This record gives sequence, structure tokens and C-alpha cells, in this order.
Amino acid sequence: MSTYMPLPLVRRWRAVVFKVNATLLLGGILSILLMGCALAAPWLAPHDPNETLFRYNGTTLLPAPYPPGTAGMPLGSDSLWRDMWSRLLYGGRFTLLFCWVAALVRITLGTLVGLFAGWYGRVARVVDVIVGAWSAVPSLLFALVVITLGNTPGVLSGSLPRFLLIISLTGWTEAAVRCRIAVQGLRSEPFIEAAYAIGRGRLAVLFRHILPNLRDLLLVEIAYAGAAVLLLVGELAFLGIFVGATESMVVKGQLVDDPLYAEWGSMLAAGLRHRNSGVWLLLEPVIAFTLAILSFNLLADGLRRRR
Amino acid sequence: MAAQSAAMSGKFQHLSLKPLVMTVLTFMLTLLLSIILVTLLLFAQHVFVDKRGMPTHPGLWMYLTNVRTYLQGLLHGNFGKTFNGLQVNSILVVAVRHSLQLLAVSVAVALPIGIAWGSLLVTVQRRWPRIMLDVFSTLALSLPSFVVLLLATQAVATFTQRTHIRLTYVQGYGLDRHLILPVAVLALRGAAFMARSLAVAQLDVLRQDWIRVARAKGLGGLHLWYRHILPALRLPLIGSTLGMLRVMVSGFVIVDYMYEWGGLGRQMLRIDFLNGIVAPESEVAAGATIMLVIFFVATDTLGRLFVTKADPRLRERMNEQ
Repeated sequence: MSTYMPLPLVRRWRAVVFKVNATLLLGGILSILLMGCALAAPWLAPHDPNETLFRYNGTTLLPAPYPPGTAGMPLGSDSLWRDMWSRLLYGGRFTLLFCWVAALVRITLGTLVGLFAGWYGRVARVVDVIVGAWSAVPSLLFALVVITLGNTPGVLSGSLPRFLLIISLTGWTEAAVRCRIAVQGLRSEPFIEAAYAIGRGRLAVLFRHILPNLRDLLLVEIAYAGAAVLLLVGELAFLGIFVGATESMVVKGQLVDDPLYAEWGSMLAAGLRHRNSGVWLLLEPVIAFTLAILSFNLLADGLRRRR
Repeated sequence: MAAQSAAMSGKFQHLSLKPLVMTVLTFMLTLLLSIILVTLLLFAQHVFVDKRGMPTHPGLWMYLTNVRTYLQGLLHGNFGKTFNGLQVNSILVVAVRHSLQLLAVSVAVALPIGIAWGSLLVTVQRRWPRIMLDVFSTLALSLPSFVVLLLATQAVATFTQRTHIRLTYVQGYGLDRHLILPVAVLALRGAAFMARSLAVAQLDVLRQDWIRVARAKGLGGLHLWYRHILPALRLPLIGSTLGMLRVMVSGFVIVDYMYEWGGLGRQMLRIDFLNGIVAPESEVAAGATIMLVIFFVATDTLGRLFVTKADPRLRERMNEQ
């Protein structure tokens, strides 16, 4: 009599497939779709994101912005005659990559602090005070002040490394607190005692036995951090601050920031300023932000339910 | 006698002062650290520009002197003066009053909605209504406050323009119809957060044995919820109310700024798009931020105290530490 023994790989895949819930599926599909579109921008975008595309009525140049549905511009153009669809695709590339890098840095920092606070009981209270003080400072204000630090009056720009550093430095506290609680729970587990019994050192136990057990928690935290970073980038853009803005210039009585990159934040800031010329200028980046935040939140929720 | 004294000490163990002292100490330290952090942060611009916002040579010593002077003033309850010579204290009193009014009304609206919404998330069994509720909750949580406010403002403006009926105002302070939009935006997000966290807690409670027993004995509907589920949700309710407050306060900054409500958020983000964040108004921004920080830290500490009071296991652990 023979019994059917599935291969380990098959067993693993089966476990993955059966643990997928509707929220995770929806969030995963949306996230993959968004990131896929962003990655495939050079093939999907009909134009270069910075190319100006003039439309004429006879010999007269039509004033920008062009509404959605204009020939060759499915989502219309911005006020500098550039195709919105191409800018959204290329902008997604930049914004999503930026958001994931910042989220990873946030979680790495939070995990390290949480690991040590949870493991070394004596430092837990000190870390509690630091985490409490850090999380009490509104992250929007923190980002706002440090990004514009050292700029001459009138300039609200921030370089990419400064943006990345500051946005990563805010919001790590939630991950640290959750990690600390999880580590405190794991500390008394039998497998930790067993690891000690076979002569493992403290750091080895921490990084080789505790850290792998935080994998599921960290996956959820990364997805939530991605959404939080996007939200912060959106809020900063709402206040006119975006990655790689150059000096503000006054053009025909209006303040214009010339962005270095095609990026969702700069599109939102520009859309807010020019929303009276065409509502799509604001609506399109807002929808992009909302869709991305929604998909990352769904992904995080789905992952949390799967745990 | 000794046995009686031991019994008495056991009886009044929960009144031990140690956890309270530790909590107050943690509160004071956290508050002090966060105020120093905010001051260092907001005055950092003084290294690069002077008090009038004019570019200057980097001066670390001047920066540290300014920070020290400001903190000394704070110790005497003096938040400084604005560039125009106005007392920051008087500006902050008005801003705090406006902020608390808006937050209080928003919490009063969000709390019952959040509880009812959370219960619906758990109890609705039909497939499509359940999916719709789930999607709506996630959407309400994911939509940034500025997006909701922008959409709502646009909708109200269009409605008023087309029908000439003024349902509400889209900007400004007032304890009348002015409240509708900002309260709706803040309460939506807060209620969604509360509903989500309460639903998770409620699912845990519903799996417990005593609920099965109560159901087996014929209890159901509102009676079961009121008599058995709600008391068990006391702890999560405190936690989610605090979480809701945090969510609301973080959304409040943008709502206040955009709606020109005149609260702490507006004062905190004193940005002139032509002049950027410059020194002259640092005192106002610092004062407003310190008020927000005090609010955050106090809420956290109060929450910890309530949770410790409500949970006997936590109380025992705190006493042991």
C-alpha cells in the first residue's frame, strides 16, 4: 500500500494558495498592476514625459491644458503641453520606487530598535520614552521643516537624498513598538530556550531565531509603511513640497516650481495650483495616489488576516 | 492580625502607587524630550536665516542660544512674540479653543458611528452587503484627508452653484454650518479606524466559549451584544478610541490648514508660499506644535492609565515591575 506524499515545494505552494484571502488577492493584484504599469512605462507611455506636444487650430496654437480625450493624449495634457498619461506612468516609476525604499528603511530602523528593546528588558523603558517622544512630533511637520531646512526664503524644494532620509526617519516608531511586543512574546518560547541550551549567543539567537519569526509581521508592516509614506508624500505635495523641485519662479504673476522629475507629488502640487484651468490636472494625480494607498492598505490587511 | 493585614493588602493591591508614579514619570520624560525635539527642530532654520527671515551665515551658537532662550521662556509660560509684536500665548489660546471644539464635535460624531459600523462589519453575514461594507471601510481608511476634503469641497461648491442652496460653507470658522465639512472629513476617517479595530476585537470575542454558551442558551441579537459582547470590548474600546483620536489629530492638521479653521494645524503650518517656512513665525509654529505634542503625549498616557485600570493582568504586571 502506498501513500501519496506531495513534494515539499508543492506543499508549500498549496499552503500559499490556500492562505490567500479576497483582500490579499485584490490588494496584490492592484499593487502588481500599478507597479507593472510603472515598470513598463517606456513601452506603455506614448510620449516622453517631458516632451511638449502642441496642438493647433489651423495655424493658431491652442492654449494648454488640453482636456482628456485630445488626440494622442488619453488623459489630456498639463499646463506646459505635456502628456498626463505618460507623466503618470513615468511618475509612478519614481514615486513607487521612492516609497518602497523609504518604507524599507523605516521598517529596518523600527525592527532594529524593536528587537533590542524587546530583548534587553532594561532598555525597554528608555526606548519607550524615546519612541513616545518621537511619535508625538507630527511627521508632516518633521518632514516639512527638515526638508526645507537651509533653503533661502521662497524655496520649498528638497533634494532626493534629503527627502528619502527625512521620510524614512519619521514613522519608524509603530514598527518598533509592534516588533518589541512580538519579541517579548517570543522570548519565553521553548525554541529560544533550546537555542540557548545548545550554546548559541544572544545576538545569534536574536538574529537567527527571533528575526525569522517576525517575517509575517514585518511583511504587514512594510505594506502599511508603503501606504504611510505615500500619504506623507501626498500631504507634502499638497503643501507645495515635492521631490526634486527646483527654485520657484514667478511666471506671468504665478509661482511655478519647475520639477526635476516626472513625479506624482509634483503633479499633485501643480494640479492644485492650476485646478481652475482643468479639474483633471488635480484629479488624475489624486486618483493615482489614492489607488496606490488603497492597494497597499488592502495588501497589508490581507497579509495581516493571513497571519 | 497578620493574616487580616495580608488580606487587606491583597484587596487594595490595585491601588498601589508604583504604576501611577512610573506612568507619571514616563509622561514627564516623554513630554520633556518631545518639547526639546520640537524646539530644536523648529529653530534649526535659525542657523541659516535670521529672525527676520534674511539669509545669514551659519551660526550654531546663535541657534543654541535661541533654543535656550525659548525653553527658558516656556518654563515661565511665555511662548514668545510674533514678528508683528503679538503675544504668541493669546494666539495659541484661540487656536487651542478652535481645535478642541472641532475635535470634540468630531469625536462625538465618530464614536457612535464607529461602534455601530464595527458591529455591522462583524454581524452582517450576507455576501454582497458584507463585501460592500469591507470595501467602504478600506476606502474610508485609505483616502487621504486632503483628498476627501477636496472632493467634498468641490461637491458642495458645485451643488451650491447649481441649486443656489447653501448647505454648508467651504472655508472658515464657526460653530454652525461651518462645522459640517471638517467634522464629516475627520469623523469619516476616525469612525473607519474605530470600526476596523473594533471589528477585529469583536471577532476574537465572538470565538470565546461563553458567547457560544450564551447562544446555546437562546440569547441573541442586541441582548447578547449588550450583555456579553460589549463588556468584553471595554479594553479594545479604550484602545481604539485613543487610536481614533490619533488618526483624527494627524488628519486635523491638513483639514485645519485647508479649511482655515484657525486651529493649531493652521498655526503649525504657517507657510507663505513666497517666503517658505522662515524664522519670524517660528515661535507661533513652535507653540502650536508643542500644544499638539502635549495633546499626543497626554492622550497616550491617559490611555495607558485607563488600560491598566481596566485590565487586572496588566495591573499585576505593572505592580511586579
